[in-house]
Amino acid sequence: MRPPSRLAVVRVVLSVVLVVLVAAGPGWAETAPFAALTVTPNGPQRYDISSGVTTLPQGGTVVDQDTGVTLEAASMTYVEGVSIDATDASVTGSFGRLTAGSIHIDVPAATLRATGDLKLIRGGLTVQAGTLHYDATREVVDIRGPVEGTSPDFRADRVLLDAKSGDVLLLGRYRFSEGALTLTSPTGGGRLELHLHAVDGKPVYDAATEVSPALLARFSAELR
Amino acid sequence: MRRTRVPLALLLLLAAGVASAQCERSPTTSELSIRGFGAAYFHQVRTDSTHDRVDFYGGVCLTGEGVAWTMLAESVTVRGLSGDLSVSAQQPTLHLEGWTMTAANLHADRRELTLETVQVQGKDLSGTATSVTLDLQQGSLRLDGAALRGPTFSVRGTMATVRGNAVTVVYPRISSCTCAGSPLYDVEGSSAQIDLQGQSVVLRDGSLHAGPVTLPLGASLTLSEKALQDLSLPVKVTYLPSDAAAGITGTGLGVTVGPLHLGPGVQADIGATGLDADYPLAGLAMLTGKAEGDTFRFGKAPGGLRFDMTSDHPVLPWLDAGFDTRVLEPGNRDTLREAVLRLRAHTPVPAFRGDAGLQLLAAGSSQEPATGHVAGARVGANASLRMGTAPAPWGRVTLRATASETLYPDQGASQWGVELQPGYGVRLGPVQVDLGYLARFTDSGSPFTTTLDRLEPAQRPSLDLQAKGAWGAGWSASATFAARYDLVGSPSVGVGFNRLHVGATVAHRSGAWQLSAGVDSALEGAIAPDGQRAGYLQGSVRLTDGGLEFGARARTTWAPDPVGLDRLELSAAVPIELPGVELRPYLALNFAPTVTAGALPAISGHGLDVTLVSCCGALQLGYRDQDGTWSVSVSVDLQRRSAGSTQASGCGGGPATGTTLAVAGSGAQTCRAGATTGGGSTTAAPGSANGSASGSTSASGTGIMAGAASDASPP
Repeated sequence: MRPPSRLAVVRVVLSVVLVVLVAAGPGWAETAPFAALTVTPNGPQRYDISSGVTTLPQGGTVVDQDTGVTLEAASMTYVEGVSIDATDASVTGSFGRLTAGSIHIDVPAATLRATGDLKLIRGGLTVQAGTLHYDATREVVDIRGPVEGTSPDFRADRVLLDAKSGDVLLLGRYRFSEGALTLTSPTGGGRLELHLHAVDGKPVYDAATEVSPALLARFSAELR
Repeated sequence: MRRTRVPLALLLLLAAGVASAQCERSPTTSELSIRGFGAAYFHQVRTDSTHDRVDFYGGVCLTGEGVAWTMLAESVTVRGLSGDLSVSAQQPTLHLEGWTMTAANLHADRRELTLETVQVQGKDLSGTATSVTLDLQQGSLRLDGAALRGPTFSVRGTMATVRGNAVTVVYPRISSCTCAGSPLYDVEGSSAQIDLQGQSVVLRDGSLHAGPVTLPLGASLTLSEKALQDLSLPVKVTYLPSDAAAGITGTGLGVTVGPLHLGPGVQADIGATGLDADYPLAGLAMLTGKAEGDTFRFGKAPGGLRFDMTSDHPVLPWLDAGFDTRVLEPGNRDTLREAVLRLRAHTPVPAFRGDAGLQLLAAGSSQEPATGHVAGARVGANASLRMGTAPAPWGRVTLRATASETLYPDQGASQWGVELQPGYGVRLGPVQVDLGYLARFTDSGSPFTTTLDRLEPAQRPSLDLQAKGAWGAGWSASATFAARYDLVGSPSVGVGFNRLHVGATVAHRSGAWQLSAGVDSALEGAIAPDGQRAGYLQGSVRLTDGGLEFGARARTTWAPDPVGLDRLELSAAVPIELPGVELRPYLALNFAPTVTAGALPAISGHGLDVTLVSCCGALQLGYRDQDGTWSVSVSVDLQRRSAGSTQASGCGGGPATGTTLAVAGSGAQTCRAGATTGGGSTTAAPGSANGSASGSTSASGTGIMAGAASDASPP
């Protein structure tokens, strides 16, 4: 057995130090999402000491210990305390389960951005779209499109999701179908609130064109 | 805030709408389709899965799937989306194929749509209904407790169904009175079919109600533009003066009402003569019955007591049997009583476009002419043939031929007769030429008079020419020539021309004014001055606009008496309008005595038309005495209404609410006034011994339901 090279030993040591730092980092881990990440590589991980970028070529799993957000990806790079970039990834959190071609997590901003072949599944809602932006601090999902939902059946230019309540706001031109109903937006676009609640234990959405002030307040930042 | 949005929403919906009142989307309206029902266009929607309902608000336009209906409301609630669908709305306005309905409530499911407490407004009808139900599968409309008004009539019924342009009303009450409150009169029936396109009403089992009076109108009565032209009111006015020289005993002024339908096939005419002080008052009553092949008339007629009965029944396809009785008792002169049994064989003759027949008769007759009483049996036979050529550019030839032989065993007498009537008619441009000849050969052997069956020999050629034409700028003209010449004389007609008339008129219309001038002459008295035939030459000019009327007439007469200038007449009629009534006096002065003898002018004519205008239409009554000849006119103009009477239809009627906005926006109706004048009156023919008239409704305007025509035009 060939003894490890000096450089390899340094890398392993640094990696262990990083993981320890990530796991027990001071301050921000208690105040913001993505602050307490646990990274579990599926294979080797490479650390570029000059740039500070860690690469997991065979992917791995990242878990936010505070929010429970779990990222699994076929390949992944991250910069400690700055960002995580993953391809062919899936993220599971309070907003549901998201799969996307690529995902970028901005750790200081506590935001997640997904693009390419993305699909969001959560109780009573299945969405496919072009891009998704998740504000983990406010737990608001901003999906842009065209956005297409299969459960319930809808299409919209843009969708805002309250990850806490599950309520949805369709924006722009939209079409929403529920049973025998098919609701179409004004030609100039509009807003349609989909309020999630349960009937006989099944999640259903009630639609309203007059959006509740509470939901407007929740999405105030996105609607500015 | 919402209140300002609702009209805005409707306005936007309607502004984008088209004449068919389809919901059209504006940039600010959303759309919701409900599978199997229709689509909603709205500003706001809220679904409630817990209660399985959807609320639309802020201005909603709902349109049907399949049947073309559109509903506007401020809010609409849909329930049972997952099962039995139901739709409800408050204060909705429904548009359906030219109809606009505003209601207090609306309920609908996938099969039918029901409106409650409804105001109905159509192109030709408007009014109210307790409820309106639209069959969403068939598109038919049912109105319960309907009270509708057209431009010229109102109709109420327990139920009315609308299918396209056909409206059927069950147990209708129809009146031409369109004012509010109880109508002056109405017509009740078991059903009425209103054709909105053909503008006609067919009433079944109708009866007329006017105060305490009820008159049955028969099994079926059609009111339409054409029928109204031909409609005769059951009033007849006559005036028969005495003429001692002619041996005529006058009956004076008479009025007859009828026919009054008393039952199936039975009708009566009642009236009186001698209503003026110069003649004895006498009553008239005549009962007439009709059944299949049988008719009877019984009563007191102006000519005396009368009883006629006819019974005709086919025995074989080519053989009819009949039985007639006639009883005429005109006082103490020329009483006639008779019973006849007939047997008639007949067959068509297609090769000659005619038919042939052979009749055998046996009769018992009694007659009391001036010459004495004659009574006895008579038996006879007659053969007849009618034929003609097909109409062709060169004209048409016709021939009628009869031959008869009658035996009078009680008198030991007989009578034979042969009659030939060839004829030829051809149209040469604007001229119709008719040539005819009557040849009758007989031995005049009947012991009775010509009133019964006596024949007189005749050889009588005739020629009739009629020409009519019109050309540009409102000009028209016509000319007639009629000649009859008797080659053999008879006790009643001498040899020579018994008719030789020529006449021509020319007329010009310019706007409401019409100018006409004419000349006519009877020349037979000039050619054969035998003291029986007339001879005169007359010219006249008349100018009128329907109200004002000016005329001038001159006539010189040379037979039967050589009077010379006997008419130099100026006449005028001037309408005078008073509140609710219009008077039109007429006066004609004859200046011939002034010219010929230096005397004062004589009144040669007078008259008065009185037109009573009400919300039921205009009733015009009038009389005119011209040269001692009376004419009386009665006419009804349904198009003409008193000012302030309620006008229905899509123009000027209906509630001035949001409905008006809806109608205007979804195919505004532009109104133009319908024709309001007319004078479809019937007067006695000039020259007749007595004037009679029956009222007829005006033929003016555009018909019973189109007094205020409507055009659909986009807003």
